[in-house]
Amino acid sequence: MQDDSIPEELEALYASERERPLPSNARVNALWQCVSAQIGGGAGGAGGSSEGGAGGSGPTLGGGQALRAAGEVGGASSTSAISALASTLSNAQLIGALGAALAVGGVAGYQVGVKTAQGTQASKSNREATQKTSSILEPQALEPQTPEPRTPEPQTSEPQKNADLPTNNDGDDLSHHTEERAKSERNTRKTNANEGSSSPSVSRVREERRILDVARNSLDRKILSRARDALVEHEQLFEAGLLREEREAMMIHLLRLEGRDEAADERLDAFEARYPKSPFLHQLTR
Amino acid sequence: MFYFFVISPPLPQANVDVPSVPPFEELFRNEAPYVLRLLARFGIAEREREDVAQEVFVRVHAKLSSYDPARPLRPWLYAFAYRCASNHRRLARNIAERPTSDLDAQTELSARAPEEQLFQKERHRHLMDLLECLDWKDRSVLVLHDLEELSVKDIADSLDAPATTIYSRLHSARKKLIALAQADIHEEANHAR
Repeated sequence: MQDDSIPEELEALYASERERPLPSNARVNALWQCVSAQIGGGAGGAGGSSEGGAGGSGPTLGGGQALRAAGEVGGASSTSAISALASTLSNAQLIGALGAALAVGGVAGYQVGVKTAQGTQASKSNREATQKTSSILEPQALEPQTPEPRTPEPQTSEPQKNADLPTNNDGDDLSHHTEERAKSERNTRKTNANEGSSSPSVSRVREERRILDVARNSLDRKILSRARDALVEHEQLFEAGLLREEREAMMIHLLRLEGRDEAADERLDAFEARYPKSPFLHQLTR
Repeated sequence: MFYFFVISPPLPQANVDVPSVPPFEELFRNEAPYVLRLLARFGIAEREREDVAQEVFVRVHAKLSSYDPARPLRPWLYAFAYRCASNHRRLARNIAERPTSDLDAQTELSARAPEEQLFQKERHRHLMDLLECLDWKDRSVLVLHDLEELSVKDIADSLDAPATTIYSRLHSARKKLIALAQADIHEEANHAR
C-alpha cells in the first residue's frame, strides 16, 4: 500500500481552501430553477428505474412518482405479501389468496399502465401545482421565471401601434405595417435564438449574477457609489429577479457602510419579514 | 398455475434494510453546493460554473437509475463533475478566458474580520494560481484527494483508472505543487529585496 498522506508543506497551502464557504442557498435555488427547467420535459422517464426508487419527488418529476408507485405495487410489496401469506395460511387458503392477489395485481397493473400513459400529461400539471405550493413555502426560491427586464420591447408594443394603423376590409394590415411586423418578428427570433442556446432562464440568471458580482466586489473594496449603481441597475432590470434576496442583503450592507443606519434598519425589517429563513440574516443582524 | 407458487421456496423478506436511491431534488439540494465548490476547485470560472453544474445535474438525472445506492454517492457524483469540467476546459474558447484565480469565495458576504478576510483571500488566490499551473489530470486527482478527501480507490473507480495511476498522478501533482510554491516564495523574496 502506498502512502497517500498529505505532506506538511501542502497542509499549510490547503488550509485556506478547506475553509472555502459553500455557495449560498440563493445560488443553489437559482441553479435548481435552471436544472428543473431543463429536465422538466423528460423527468418522468428517468424516474422509472427497475428498483422503483429513482422516481424523485421534485416539482419536475411527476411522471417519475407515478412510476415509482408502480414499482412498489408490482415489485417489492407483492413479493413480501406472498411470502408472508405462505408462512401463515394452509395450502387451500393459499391458493385462494394467491388467486385473489393475482387478480388484484392484474387490476393494479392495468391502473399502472393507465397512470403511466397519463404520466407525461400529468407531469406538466403536477409541476405547475407543485411549483405553486412551493412558491408559498419558499418565496425566494421560486420566483416566477424572472420577468422581462425593463428594456425596450418592440414586439410587445406592436399591437398598440397596429391598432391605429389603417387596415383593409379583411382587417389585414397594410403593406407598410407588414414590413414593420416582419422586422419585429425577426427581432423576436433573434432574441429567442440567443436565449435558446441553453435553458431559458440561464442567461438571465447569469446576467443577474454578473451585476450582483460587480456590486459585491465594489462593496468589498468599499467603492460605494459603484456598488449602489450596480444594485440600482439590478433593481431596475430584475425587480423580482431570482437573486433579489441577495440584492436586498447587499443593499442593507451598503446602507450600513454609508452610515444610513435608519434606512438600513427599515430595509432590514422588511427583509426579515419577507425572508425569515434567509442565510444572510445572521450577517445582517450582527 | 397457482401450484407453482405454492411449492416454490419462501421468498426472502423484502424489508431488509437496503439503501435506496435518493430522490433527485433531495440529491440536488444536498450536493449542489459541493459540486459548485468542486467546479471552482477544478478552475471553472465563476460566470460559467452554474452552466457546467447544470450540465452535471442534467446528466446525473439521466443516469440516476444506474446509481448503486450501496456505494458512496459523492465519488459517483464527482465523476460527472470531472467529465463535464474536463469537456468544458477542453474547449478552446474556455482556455482563452480561463481566470487565474477565483473571486467567488472572496466575495461571499463574510462574517470574518476584514484583515482575516484579506489574508484568506491572498492564500486562496495563491493556491488557485498554483493549481492553474498543473496539468488538468494531475490537478483533478489532487483536488479530489487532498481537498475533497476522496480515497484513492474511490477516485480510481470514479475516473475509471487503475489505483496505481491515481497514486502516481497524486505524487507527481504534489511534487509539482510543492516546487511551484517554493519557487513562488523565492520569487517573492527576491522581489522584496
